[in-house]
Amino acid sequence: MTGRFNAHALVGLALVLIGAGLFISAQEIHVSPAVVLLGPRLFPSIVAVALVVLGVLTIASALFGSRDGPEAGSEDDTPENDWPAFLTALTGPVLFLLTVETLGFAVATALLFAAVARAFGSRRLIADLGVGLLMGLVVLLVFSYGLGLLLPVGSVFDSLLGG
Amino acid sequence: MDVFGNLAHGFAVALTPVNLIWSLVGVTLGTAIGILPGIGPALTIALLLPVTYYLDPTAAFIMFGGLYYGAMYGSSTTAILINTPGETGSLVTTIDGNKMARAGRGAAALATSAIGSFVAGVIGTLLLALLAPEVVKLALLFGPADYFALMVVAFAAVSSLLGSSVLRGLVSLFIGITIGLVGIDQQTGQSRFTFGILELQDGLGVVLVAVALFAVGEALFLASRADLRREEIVPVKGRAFMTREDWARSWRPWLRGTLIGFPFGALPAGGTELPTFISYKVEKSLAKRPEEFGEGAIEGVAGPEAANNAAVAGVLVPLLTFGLPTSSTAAIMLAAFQQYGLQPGPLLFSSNSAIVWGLIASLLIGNAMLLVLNLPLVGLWVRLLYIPQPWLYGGISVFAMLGVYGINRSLVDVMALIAIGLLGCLMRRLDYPIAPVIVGLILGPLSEIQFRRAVQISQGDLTVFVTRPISAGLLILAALMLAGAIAAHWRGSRQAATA
Repeated sequence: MTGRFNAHALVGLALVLIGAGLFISAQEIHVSPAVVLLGPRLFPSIVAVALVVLGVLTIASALFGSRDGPEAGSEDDTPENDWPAFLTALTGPVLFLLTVETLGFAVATALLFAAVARAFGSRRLIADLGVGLLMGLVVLLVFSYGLGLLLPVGSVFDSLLGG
Repeated sequence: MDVFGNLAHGFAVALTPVNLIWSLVGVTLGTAIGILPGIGPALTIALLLPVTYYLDPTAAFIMFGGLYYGAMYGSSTTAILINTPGETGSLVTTIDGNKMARAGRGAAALATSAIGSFVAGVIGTLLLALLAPEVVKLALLFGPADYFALMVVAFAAVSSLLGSSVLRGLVSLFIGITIGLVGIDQQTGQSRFTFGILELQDGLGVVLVAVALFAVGEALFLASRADLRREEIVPVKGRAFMTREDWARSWRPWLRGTLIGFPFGALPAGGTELPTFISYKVEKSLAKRPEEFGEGAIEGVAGPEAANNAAVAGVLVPLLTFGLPTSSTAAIMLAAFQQYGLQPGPLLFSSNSAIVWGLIASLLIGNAMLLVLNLPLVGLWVRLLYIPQPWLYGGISVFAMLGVYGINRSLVDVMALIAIGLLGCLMRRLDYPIAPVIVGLILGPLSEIQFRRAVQISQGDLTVFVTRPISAGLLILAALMLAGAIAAHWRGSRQAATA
């Protein structure tokens, strides 16, 4: 009950903080003098108050709620956590973000595909990279020639091609 | 025009070769993504939105409608053969469907779910055609205050009926509404909560948020949970069709499932999951041999599979007549209407009747196509299940990234994708439902517009929401839904405490 319940209390705390921040920044939204009724501030303020209330309720139910609620049932089957796989999967989109403009869409796609495949248990890195690269190249060609959308080929290759 | 005239008009639209092809594309793609776990109709339609921008809206909606139905057909195949629902609407089917497959009766289970889906899909679509014009007459009476109250009902329904507790549902809903606040205020043109980032002026797109939650968040979640990643395919065995006894035991559950599924989809009561649970319980209580339930009772497959298809038809009633989405897929379809500058609601039926009736007629045609795709051809689809899981999720990630990055080629979008994906993973781990986020994201800005319109019409009088009878009635209904759900949870926890 400790780990899970503390996590919920943290969620509640985050909701309260986000709600408070939202409320404060809602009051700073510029309202033009022409607006007579209900400017752009009111609705965000209501949402902000709701977030704070929900946050307080979440904290309360995490700290004082009965352990026999619906939460109890979901705790029976203890989840098997696999944090290395989680981090590997997360590496995929991050690598894409870091490489798409320099190494190009095809290589970035290969890295994304291989990282996620590895997280899901694949141990054939070269094959995964190959499949991912193929997917990336096909998409690149279809988008460039078929739809006229230019995805980045990669600044590295641009200079190699003398372009 | 009467219903038959409308339907005839619709068939004239749907039966053109181009629209027939789009319908076939929709049902085929829908069956495929229904079968594949990890990719559902909401995610697929979100990924297709940028591509369909250039398509004729009628063709696009014919494809989306077929896709939504097809996903319900396909998901049962996965539920029966690998004990994992292809979509949440087939969760119940796993109980008895997989038992039947293990007992060598997989073919019968697949057949009863495909035929049940067909029966429910056809009856549900006909009910949609009959009821929608009547509901439109009702919708014409609605003013802005009433629309706002109706959205509050949808908020209450989606957060009280999905997920494990009302509080979690509401938290999810308000996370969605908060994300929806980002961007330019549609009435005054003021930018809000953009943190000075230019890319955020247009708000965080529906495509981005849906893809982040359903594709990235789901992949991260499954990666973090080793116990959820194992699966085992049961090969289809047994005779290719149902026995006489199977038919006798199936037809009543099909009809009952239809009658349960349609109203639950149609009322703003949240999607395709709930009616399948109710159908299962009803069949179990009516069965001659209830002890067979959980051990491979065919009624436990026939009823829920009919219910989830009927629910899809039901979901389209409030979506088309009020512009009110009651599931995450419907919410994405609403975003698709907005992309074309169309506003679902009573006016859609008069100004764009070709789209509405073409869609409804194409759903009837699509159901016939789906019956063929899912009965004689089911053996071909099963091969999709042999795609290795690492490549499946790798592929989903690539398409997700393409869908988000391909639109604007903006790295800010990729960063937002990762951030919201992490949020989605956290929510899944802590058992917060995802659908209310999508509904809140899309209905939040719409409800703000109606709220402000209503108050402007009443010249600043906030009591307008409780003095108009429709609005007041709907707000009471919303309050009752929340109170009822909280009471049910309380009673549940009391019983557990005394037991």
